[in-house]
Amino acid sequence: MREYLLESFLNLPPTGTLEVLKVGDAFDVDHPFVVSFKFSHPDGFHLQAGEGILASFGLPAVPSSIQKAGKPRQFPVQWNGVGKLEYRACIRVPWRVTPVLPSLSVHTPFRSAEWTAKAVAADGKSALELTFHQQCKDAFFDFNDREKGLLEWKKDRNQIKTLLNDGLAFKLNL
Amino acid sequence: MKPIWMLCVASALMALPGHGADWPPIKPEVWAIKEDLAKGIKDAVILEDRTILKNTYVERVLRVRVLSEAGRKALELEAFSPDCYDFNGRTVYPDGKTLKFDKRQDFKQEIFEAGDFTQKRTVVIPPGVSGNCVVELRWLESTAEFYDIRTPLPARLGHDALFRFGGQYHTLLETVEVPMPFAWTYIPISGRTQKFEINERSGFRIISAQNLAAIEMPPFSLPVSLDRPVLSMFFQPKQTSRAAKESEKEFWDLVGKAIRKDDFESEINKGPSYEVLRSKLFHGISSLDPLVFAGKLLSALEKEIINVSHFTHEESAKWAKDLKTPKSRDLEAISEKKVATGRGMTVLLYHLLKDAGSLPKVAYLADRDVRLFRPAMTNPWQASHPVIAMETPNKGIVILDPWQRFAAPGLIHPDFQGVQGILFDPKADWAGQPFTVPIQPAAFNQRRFDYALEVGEEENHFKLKAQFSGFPELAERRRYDQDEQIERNRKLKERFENQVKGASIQKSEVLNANNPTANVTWAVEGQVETEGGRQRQVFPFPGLQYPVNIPGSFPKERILPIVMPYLQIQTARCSFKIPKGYKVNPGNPFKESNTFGTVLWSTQIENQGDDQVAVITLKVSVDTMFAAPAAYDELKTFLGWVSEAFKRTLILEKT
Repeated sequence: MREYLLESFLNLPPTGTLEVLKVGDAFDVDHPFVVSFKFSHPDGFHLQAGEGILASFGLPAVPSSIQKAGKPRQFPVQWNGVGKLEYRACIRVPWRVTPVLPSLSVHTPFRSAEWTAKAVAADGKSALELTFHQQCKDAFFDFNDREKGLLEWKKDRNQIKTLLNDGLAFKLNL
Repeated sequence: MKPIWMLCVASALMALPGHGADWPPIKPEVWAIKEDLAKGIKDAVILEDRTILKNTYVERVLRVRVLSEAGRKALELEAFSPDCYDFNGRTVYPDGKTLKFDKRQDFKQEIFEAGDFTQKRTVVIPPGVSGNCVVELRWLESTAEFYDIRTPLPARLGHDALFRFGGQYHTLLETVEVPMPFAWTYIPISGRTQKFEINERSGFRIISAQNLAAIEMPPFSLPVSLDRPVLSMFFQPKQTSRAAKESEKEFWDLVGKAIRKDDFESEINKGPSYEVLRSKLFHGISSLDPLVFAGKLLSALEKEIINVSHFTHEESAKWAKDLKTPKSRDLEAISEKKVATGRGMTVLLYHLLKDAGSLPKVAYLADRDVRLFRPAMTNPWQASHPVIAMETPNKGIVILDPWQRFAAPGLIHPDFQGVQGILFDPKADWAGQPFTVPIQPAAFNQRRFDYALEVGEEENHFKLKAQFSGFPELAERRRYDQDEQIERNRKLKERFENQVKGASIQKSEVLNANNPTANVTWAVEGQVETEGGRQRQVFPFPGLQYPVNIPGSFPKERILPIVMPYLQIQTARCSFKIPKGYKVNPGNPFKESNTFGTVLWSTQIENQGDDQVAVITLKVSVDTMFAAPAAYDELKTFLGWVSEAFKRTLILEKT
């Protein structure tokens, strides 16, 4: 679990710390499998060019590119979209900030998702309230529609890139 | 306190009947073993691993309880040598069903790639292994004969064996059982916490260890520093056996005089072909500096003689299968046939230097990944890699290692650096003196990557040229030199396609992989999709390799010393024209440094005619090879800087 969290989920730098507090019973199918952990990131809110960039914890990764740049698509595009993600985060930062991307709706053949970001400022500090709800979907674009599938995939990819690039960016109000 | 079931299993195991008898029923406590992460029991448990030395053959007994699908790997055994015979085993399932086997052919053979590139590992797997079973195996292996004398170990172990106890899985009992009396010397060395037990029974001395924890190898450490018991067993020649009881100095002087001198000076055969080779080599070298002369001599020698320790693709295609390599001391045959082993090349270089009036020493080095040389241990064979050592007043000891074919003269393989070896001085009747093998400076091992980027709306095109020196050069050469040219280029392309997701590579070319006179370089051209979004970002170093491997996760605590692979400098430079209508936000300059090294990132904007060009430099130097475990936080900080610098992008802002 520790390795999974470090390598696949949190992507912490080597100086980050992680303490796994509780791991539920994976064989108990009557109850949700709950994992509790505590971690620290040495640069979790990275200041850059008048913005603070929050490190991504638990949000979906950018889908990989399915076609090399400059090459036409040869094969159908098929995606088995399994799972639902409910993400809620409350993070306090020691600056007054405004979200760059207060909301985003993603509706592609591969997923439906909603993102909201709020920053409640007080005494020169802010409490960030972030939510992300995602439902993955199955999609299939046959040979004749492969270029369309590729286009939709790129759109989906760009939306997630926007989420990760802009959703996690906060303007500093100095 | 040890769990009771462990003791039951361990004591039951020692009562096993001899080879060929039926296996006793599997006890309920064996089936009761479950995975228990708190006790480090995961995937499989080695119930018993016995090596019984019987002078003319060795009996092996291995019993494994597999606890999970992943635990099936515990039965991926090193391929049996041709000297193995009389296989006898069974796979037993929890419902009592049993699959018996008794032939070599019953085992499935698989070949895996091991290490970075050319190494392969062959394993054999017993039949019917499942994620929940017990596998029991016995087999015999003949011992070797050297010069009509039967030795107590199989040929694959030579005359110097290390039995390292414990392994990847929790081990309940491991033994090496030695008949009494025994002709060879053996020295059990307990681990820091994991101790040996030694008992005598039925004419055998039984050296055993119980409840050995599964071994996890922390990053940047040496296997030899792990807490595990090791039994060293070796042949002590008559000439040195008396001195083994005397002082260290006396022992190593005698090893030089009685063994190593023979390796280099006994029954040396020189003749007319040797003389022709010698005058040809000497004629082409003008330098009087003994060190420069020796380096040039080694380079010239590599052009004249094929060193069979490593073939290029072009050579192996031409190599006659039945051509025998001359013996290492037959310098006449080596000079005539123009072919030698690594050892033959070393002996030849030694004599050429001697004939030129130099007075080389001979050093024997130990591979730190396998064992450390300990002068107090009277094992003459523990440092087994012979090289030529030149002592100079201002540069200390310079090593010439003809085994590292086509490496820069003077390169010491990192596996030998910074640990002890033994230096023999032919001028002092081959007296032996332990010494620390030098650590080569970072400037010796360099990688340089020059990127030219064309930044576009949809895609960035890049052209990359890579140059190497020192060990990185040898590593690149070895990555490619056994393939034909077309395959070298394909491998480079594939390497980039794997490293840069979605990249389209138009050109990849490896140069000089079969040319010993020039360093290996390579060039790649390709395009990468640009990252869209609110800010236009440029990633200046697509596909740039990390100078050191950065593990995905780090163990919480560190008790083993830290060992970096080698000191090095890696420099990457990227330049690109800033698109019209944009300016570059260079971000904060980045220069961090600690015990382990320095990480630097800098951006400069240069005016070139009407254009502005951004020039980004990323430089990493690794300046420390060995550090105490207390420096763990510093190591993580250093690796953190490296990973941060490698992920950095430049932001293009609209003007």
